Amino acid sequence: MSRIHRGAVLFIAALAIASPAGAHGFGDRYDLPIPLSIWVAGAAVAVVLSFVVIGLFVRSPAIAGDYPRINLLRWPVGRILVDPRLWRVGQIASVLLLALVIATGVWGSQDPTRNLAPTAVWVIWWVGFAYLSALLGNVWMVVNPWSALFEAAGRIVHGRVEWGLAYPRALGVWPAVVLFGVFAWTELVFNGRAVPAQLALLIIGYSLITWAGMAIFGRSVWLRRADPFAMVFGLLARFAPLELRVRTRRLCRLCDGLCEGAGSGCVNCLECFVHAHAAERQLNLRPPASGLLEVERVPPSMVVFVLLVLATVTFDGFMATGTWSTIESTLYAAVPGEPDSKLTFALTIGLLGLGALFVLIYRIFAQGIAIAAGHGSSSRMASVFVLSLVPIALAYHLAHYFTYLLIQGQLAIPLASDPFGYGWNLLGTAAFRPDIGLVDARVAWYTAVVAIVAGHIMAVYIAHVVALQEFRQRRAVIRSQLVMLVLMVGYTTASLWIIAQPIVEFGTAG
Amino acid sequence: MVSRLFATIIVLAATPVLAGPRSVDLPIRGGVLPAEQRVIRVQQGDEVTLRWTSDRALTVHLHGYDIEQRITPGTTATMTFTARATGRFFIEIHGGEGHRASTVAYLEVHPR
Repeated sequence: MSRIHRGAVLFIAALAIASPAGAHGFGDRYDLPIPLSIWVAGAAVAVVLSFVVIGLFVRSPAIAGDYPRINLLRWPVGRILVDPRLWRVGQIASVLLLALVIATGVWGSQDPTRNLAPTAVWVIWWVGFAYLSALLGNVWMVVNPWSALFEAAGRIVHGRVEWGLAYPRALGVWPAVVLFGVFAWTELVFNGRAVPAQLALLIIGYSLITWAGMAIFGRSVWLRRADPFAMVFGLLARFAPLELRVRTRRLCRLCDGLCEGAGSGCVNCLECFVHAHAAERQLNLRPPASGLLEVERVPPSMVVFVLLVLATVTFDGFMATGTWSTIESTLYAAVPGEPDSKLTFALTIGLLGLGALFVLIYRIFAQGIAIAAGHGSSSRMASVFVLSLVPIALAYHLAHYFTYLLIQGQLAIPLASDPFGYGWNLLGTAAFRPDIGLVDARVAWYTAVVAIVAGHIMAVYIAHVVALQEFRQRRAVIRSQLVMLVLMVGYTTASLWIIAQPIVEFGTAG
Repeated sequence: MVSRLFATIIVLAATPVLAGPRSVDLPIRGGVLPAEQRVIRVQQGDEVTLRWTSDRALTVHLHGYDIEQRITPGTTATMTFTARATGRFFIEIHGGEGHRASTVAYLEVHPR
């Protein structure tokens, strides 16, 4: 290929790539990369503290799998938080918002920044609920409008909305893996993701799938095995400081045996909580990440689900790096067709490839842990340690979206006054313009690095507690954790590397 | 002696770094800028003047600061603003024959 021809191809590629707003969901990112010195310091601190954590464990013989909890229902504030009337208000609000988002998508202006739908879906709901789930508790479980509407329909016709077909055990959570994959593709690849009418169509499609699934297999079975959002927010909420708990597991038939909280009690299961006697109920304050501590039998499909969530979060950042630009240009040039479909191809391969790479690397490490510990199968190791990776991904996610949420989230203020983009001014806020100087670059850098290092330390701690529960001999614990540490340091360093990249999307155009 | 050293350090640390004017000439040819001008680096607080020229009519849009400027061939269009918010802001060109928006440069505002 001649130089000029090659240059022309890359130039066209750069033009196609260069709708930079579209790095993910919707909206602009204004982050400066963290300076090299902060990256190096962060990585070094992560490594040193890892050994401090391990050192502390070597001295203390055993750690109980249980964690300290304070039941907030002893105080009025806790009782208000679980008041059914408050939940009802939240559900009605979320149903109305869902209806409004669909209406604005269908009938509103199709300019993404003038229409409520893209900001409501990608910033407020998707990023906002991730923060809420991780930093507060599983709020989505309570206010999920699809679940609330289905339940209301059931009450109107006296329970005849569920067919109650037995869910095939062999399916595991594979339906959720597939649906989450489709969602991730929509968020990161699909070029209509910020087009209000397309979003409305996607929401309607998702509604039909969700209600059909709930009608066929039952609402709680569907939410725990097939609904990607109930599962993602549930996964993130394992990190949260609040949990809903029923003290005994007698009622757990209601949630299909998929409750969190192995052994004693049932955690974050709405059905069980609602049906439990008042004396059985708890709203607990707990140390962060406690929900990830329990050694549970995580089915292989759930391992893939967790890894897919982690890979998606990483791909979102990786897409903006120069390394990805190079890979993308290569993939782009490898296929014929229209620029848009070539770009879609490159991104789809990238997303699938990173997902597969995560699964492959994790399986190799699971095998390594089994060999190092001299105990257990690699699939058992994959299953028990997968949740310990969540804090790293979560911390990276919080770091990655910190300024995005604070700056793009401000668009909700004018949109509240003019959701359809018709020029209304319902609340008098239509003229508000986002303040792009709300977060200083330095604040963003330190927040990101502190979050990622803290997430790393929690991950090391969790993996260690899990290893202590899983292996009897101290030698096996230490050896398994040295393997795990290599994986975690690699993952943390990669996360820091992404936010240190000087993002330039020109390729080598011109 | 030591206290004097500390006093000096405090004075140095407390002295505001004076914001300077930054004026950059940006000639767009065929829809692109010369490679070395695609990242414009300034310091927070700088008075920035971007002086645009182009061989064809188009509109440049600085995101974030949200400034749009129409450029016609043979004239210089200027954007003047104070770089008060830090971050990396992309500058897109709209219009021209392609109808496709494309990034022509990045403005990086570094913290002091």
